[in-house]
Amino acid sequence: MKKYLIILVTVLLTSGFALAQGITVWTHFGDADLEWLQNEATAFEAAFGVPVNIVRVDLGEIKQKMLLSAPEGEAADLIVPIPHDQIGEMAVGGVLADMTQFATSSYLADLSDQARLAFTFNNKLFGLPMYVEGPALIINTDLVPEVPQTFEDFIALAQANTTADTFGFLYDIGNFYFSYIWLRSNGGYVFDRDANGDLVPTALGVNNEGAVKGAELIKKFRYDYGLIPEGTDYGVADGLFIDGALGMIYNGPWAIANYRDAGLNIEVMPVPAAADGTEFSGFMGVQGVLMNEFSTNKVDAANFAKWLIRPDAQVSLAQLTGKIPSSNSAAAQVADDPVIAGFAAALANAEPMPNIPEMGNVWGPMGDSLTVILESPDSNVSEILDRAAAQILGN
Amino acid sequence: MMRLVPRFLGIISLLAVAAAAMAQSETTRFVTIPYGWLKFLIAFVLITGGIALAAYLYGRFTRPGKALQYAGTAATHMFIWLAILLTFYPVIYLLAVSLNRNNSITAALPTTGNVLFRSGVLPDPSKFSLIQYQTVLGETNLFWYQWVLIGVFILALVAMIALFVAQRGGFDPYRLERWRTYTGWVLFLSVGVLVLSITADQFYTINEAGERVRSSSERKIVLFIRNTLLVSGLTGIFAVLISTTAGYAFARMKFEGRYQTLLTFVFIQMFPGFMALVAIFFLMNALDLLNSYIGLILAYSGGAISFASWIFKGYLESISPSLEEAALVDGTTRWGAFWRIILPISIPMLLFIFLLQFIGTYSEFILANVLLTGEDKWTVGIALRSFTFNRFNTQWGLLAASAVLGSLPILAIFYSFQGALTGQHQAGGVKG
Amino acid sequence: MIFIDISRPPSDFLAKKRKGGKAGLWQSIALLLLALGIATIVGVAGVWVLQLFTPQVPVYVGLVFGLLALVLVLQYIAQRFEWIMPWYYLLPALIFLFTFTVFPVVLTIFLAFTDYAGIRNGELSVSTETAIVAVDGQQLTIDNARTLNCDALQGSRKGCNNVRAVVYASGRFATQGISLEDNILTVEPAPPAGRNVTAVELLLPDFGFRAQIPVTAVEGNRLTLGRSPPGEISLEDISLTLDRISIERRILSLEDNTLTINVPLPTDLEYVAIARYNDFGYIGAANFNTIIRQANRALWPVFRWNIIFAVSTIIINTIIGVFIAVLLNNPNLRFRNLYRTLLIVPWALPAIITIQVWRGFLNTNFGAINRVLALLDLPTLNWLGDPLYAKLAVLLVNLWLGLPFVMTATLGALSAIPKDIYEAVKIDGASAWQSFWGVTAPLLRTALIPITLTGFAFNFNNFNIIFLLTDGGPPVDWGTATARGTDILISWAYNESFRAQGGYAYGLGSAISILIFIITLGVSLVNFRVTGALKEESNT
Repeated sequence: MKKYLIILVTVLLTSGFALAQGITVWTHFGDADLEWLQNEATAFEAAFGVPVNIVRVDLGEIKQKMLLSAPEGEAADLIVPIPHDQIGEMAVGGVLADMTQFATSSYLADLSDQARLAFTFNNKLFGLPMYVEGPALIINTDLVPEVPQTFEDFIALAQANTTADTFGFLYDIGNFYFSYIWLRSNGGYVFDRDANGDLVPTALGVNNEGAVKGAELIKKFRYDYGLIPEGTDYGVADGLFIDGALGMIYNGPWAIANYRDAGLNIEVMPVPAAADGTEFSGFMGVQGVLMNEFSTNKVDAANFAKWLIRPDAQVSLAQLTGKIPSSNSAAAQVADDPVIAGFAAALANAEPMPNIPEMGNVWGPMGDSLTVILESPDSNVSEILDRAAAQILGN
Repeated sequence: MMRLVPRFLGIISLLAVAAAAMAQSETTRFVTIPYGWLKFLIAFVLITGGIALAAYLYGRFTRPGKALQYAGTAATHMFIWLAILLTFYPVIYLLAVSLNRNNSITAALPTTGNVLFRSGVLPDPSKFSLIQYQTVLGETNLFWYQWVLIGVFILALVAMIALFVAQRGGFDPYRLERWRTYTGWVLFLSVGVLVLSITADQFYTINEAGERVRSSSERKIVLFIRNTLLVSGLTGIFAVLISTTAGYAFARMKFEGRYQTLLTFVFIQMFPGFMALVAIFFLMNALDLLNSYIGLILAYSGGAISFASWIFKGYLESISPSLEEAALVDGTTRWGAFWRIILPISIPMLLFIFLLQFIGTYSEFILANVLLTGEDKWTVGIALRSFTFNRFNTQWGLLAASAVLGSLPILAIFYSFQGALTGQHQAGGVKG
Repeated sequence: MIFIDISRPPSDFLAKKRKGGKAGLWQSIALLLLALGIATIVGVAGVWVLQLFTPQVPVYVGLVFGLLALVLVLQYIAQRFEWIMPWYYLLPALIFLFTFTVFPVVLTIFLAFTDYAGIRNGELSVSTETAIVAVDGQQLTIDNARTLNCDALQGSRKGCNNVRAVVYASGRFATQGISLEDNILTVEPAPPAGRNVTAVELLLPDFGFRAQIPVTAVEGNRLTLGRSPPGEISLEDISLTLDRISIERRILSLEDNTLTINVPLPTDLEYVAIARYNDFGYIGAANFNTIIRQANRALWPVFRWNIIFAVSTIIINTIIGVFIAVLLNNPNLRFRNLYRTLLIVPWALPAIITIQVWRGFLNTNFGAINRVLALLDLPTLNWLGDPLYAKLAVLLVNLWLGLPFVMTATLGALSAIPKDIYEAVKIDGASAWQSFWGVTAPLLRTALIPITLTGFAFNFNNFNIIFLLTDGGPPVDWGTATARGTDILISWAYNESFRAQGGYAYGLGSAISILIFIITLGVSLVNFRVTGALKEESNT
């Protein structure tokens, strides 16, 4: 018995001693993106001698995991990357390091304004932007050889391609991230800005006249135009597009690699403007590198963060996946790529998602209200949106 | 019996009217057989009735007294096959998705072929490929001795099946029993050594530059299965170790406070365990046990104690204390009686507690997800969840392939110990 | 276990035979607590001593010391008070129960009365850091009070009353390099004496960015670098990172841009910024008030569905499970073992996988269920989109999942019924129908009551099926973002505590957990009364 105890003690004593070395990175990347990150990490290790341990964490989990485990020293040194709308709660929660000091003036000068503002919270830069992304109209040119010139054109094409075997136009309609384009283009917004240009969490525009009009349009997609049936979610639309049974999808650059692998001929373009002059643009996201405030190796973490935002690295990522580099010089290098050019055109007037912590309360109620609106052709849109607004405000 | 027939027909015609009224007028994209339900019902009734009739007639000629019973048995078979079909439908689909090269569950439907394929009721076989399994398993680099272990494992498995068949064939069960014990040990040890020997470093590819690139989480399911087997196995053993003495004390000893303690055990486990997640997180943090298997195993075992003790107490109460009493009279100590008499006769129950804990832990993901932060320590539950809780979409093909692989160990364990699992439910598990 | 003599005959442990004092419950507990207390002290002290020598020693090593001490103390106690022995058999389980169940429960109850949340986690909030414009004794003038965001705090702390804060002194130092040889960087001017230099930032022209290199030692103007820079460096514009001096204070009040702190700051440093902590604390019953205020939109409908779900799933599963079990129990049925083996599959497969397959199955236009219904010319249903059908779907899938358990348990109960009873009934001329209702049913009932009650308790908090199948959806008019069409109490609590839509409100989630605990206790008490499961125990 004593012998076993001694063995137990030895095992326990030795097992916990593996010393931390290098840096740990949390990422939600998969497939091609992840490969890119791994290659960058290998190159970084060769140059700096600092090993990088890459850990997959789902995007939906990163916030909660950071808030809970970062103060206990159990979180990664860096998060590569995260959409900027997620940073508010983490910044207020004190788990993000202020990265202002790591952003050199030349880096900032090369950065697009939208990208810089997206990661600026309380006048501090909480992340180094890597790339800009957002949904655009992606067309399977084998099914839809002529690209639409106007919104009316687009609807007509979509209807013409909705046959017994194929669909004309589908997207994740119940997701506020995608559907915001229709609300915004008709005059809706999430938070208004005050005189200083700061977002005001109480000034909601999700239930104003324009938002209601936009939501009515979303309903039309299902009930008037007969395009997007019940049960359409991201997986359905994406799966059908890959199978070549869908003509047009409203989706972001993250899906491009899969579409190319499936051998599709695609064209990326903005949702065309309507005959009455309404132009369509929705959310855009900026993804950037965040640093853990409680990191024990901020020096190396900062180096890797800077390594990843080199224009070279941004260009290689862009070529791989159609993401628009956040740095102007890198963006210029890949501007000829038709896919990147398509996304760039679609996102030119897009609005960066709000990055204040209150944004975390918006997704749930707005997604819910879209689902309820779409439930029946005679749902009361303005009443439903009013209720969502009340929920967002916490009443 | 005869009077039931008109009533039955009446119900069917009512159903027909109701269904016709409910049928949607708008055109849908579904492939439909007009009045398919009626056709199916008629076909089912005809087939069942036909088989029953055949059995009845067969019975008439062979054993007239049993004819009705034959008919009833035939109908029962039909009904149970229907139930099996419904049970297996999702399982078949899971397999089909894991073989689908397009990584989606809601793919475009084929335009040709049998109506079952065209309607999407059965998966489209033209898209089958092993690509998902290749992706999931392709970057597992095993050492030669691990291949040997796998070989030993497969041989032992074949031997086990052969022994099972031999027993059915009427060989001497006593001699077979000995061989079965040996094979069982070989199986157990080969899996055990395999589980302990696999490390996270074995999952990599070599890139063009000749450098090792560590695999992404989608390609490490073997590692996650290994981790899960380790955690679940140790948790099961822990639960058994800690709960047996407690169950014994409750069942066989009389002392002040026994009832109160028992009540505490019963009621404390009613707290919704994982809602104390934050508290457990802080506890583990205080003990430096975050992101370690020890922490996870301790947390799981802590949650299992009261239930396991309760079951063991029930089991001991159901067996007569005469054996131990005799031993105690002979001068055996209390501990000796527990160790040498109670534990050996409780092995089936201990196995049951172990298995229950093992199965319960195997696909747990909430607690594991909070306590384990390093990807190399993930369990199957976390890994499978990570496929679906991606940003927008679910990688269905990879999920299904991993799910099928992840289910294999638990299926194997479940069916190997089916007797232990099902037999013990009566013994103590359900008392109270 | 050679230390402990657990070897007394059982008669010694009977309550009436008392040696060395009174064998009461409280005495026993007091002794055990004493032993555990001593063990804890030894464990903590052990770790403390070890960490003096090797700081990396993990805390759980203390468990080993504690365990050793515990064994010794217990042996001593056993010699003096022999009636304690039964408790020794319980002790491992008790320790585990208290550490990993009771302690977290107590902590959760404590949290239920606080405003603890993701953004009020007690940590320093870097984002609130705002520049200090002027310092005047206890009065600080800050640049922007909105950055300090004092309204995010709750309870008495709202407006930064009595909230902890950190005041920073300058932390960067710009200089020029003179030379770099063998990892020794010489700079001019030298960093201020008495301040620690942690890193140096050098421009790498090859890579086009400024890299941080750790500094291991400083001697005047000579800095020893932790590693050599990767490639050429530029010696101009070198920035040193100084150990930032931070001074902790409490904010007493905030008016416009003027802060009052509890203790004046030392005068010899230049202060640049202040940041506050995300303090949380006692807020009374505010969490429970929130629950009550939203009761019509969350608590009541969720509770109602929770009860309906648990009750109906048990009824459905039991009826169908018993039916199939009775069919399979027919000894004349061939392949019955094969059938049983096949039907048990849903139990053996991990639910996390199968429930998600079902989720795909139930898709309105693209799922297999509606395709089957449509093929048969039956009306298709909006399974996951309509609150009523979603509830139906939950019950359906739970039937698929739970059937094997009920079936197996019933088969076990049936096999326990002696065959000769049936023979006897048969001789009396009873039909199969009569023998089922006369013999099988009554015997089954006694076996099934505990099964159904365990099933009820399990399903009442069956988080997995809700979370994985519907995720609480679909949204409904009456609901909130965290309590939707098919949410049950536990998934609601989870949404509040661990999801973005609830704002990671751990305090509120804990309050709901306590409600669940109370409800489960109440239901179980009724159960025990009905079945008398604990009655015989109370006599002892």
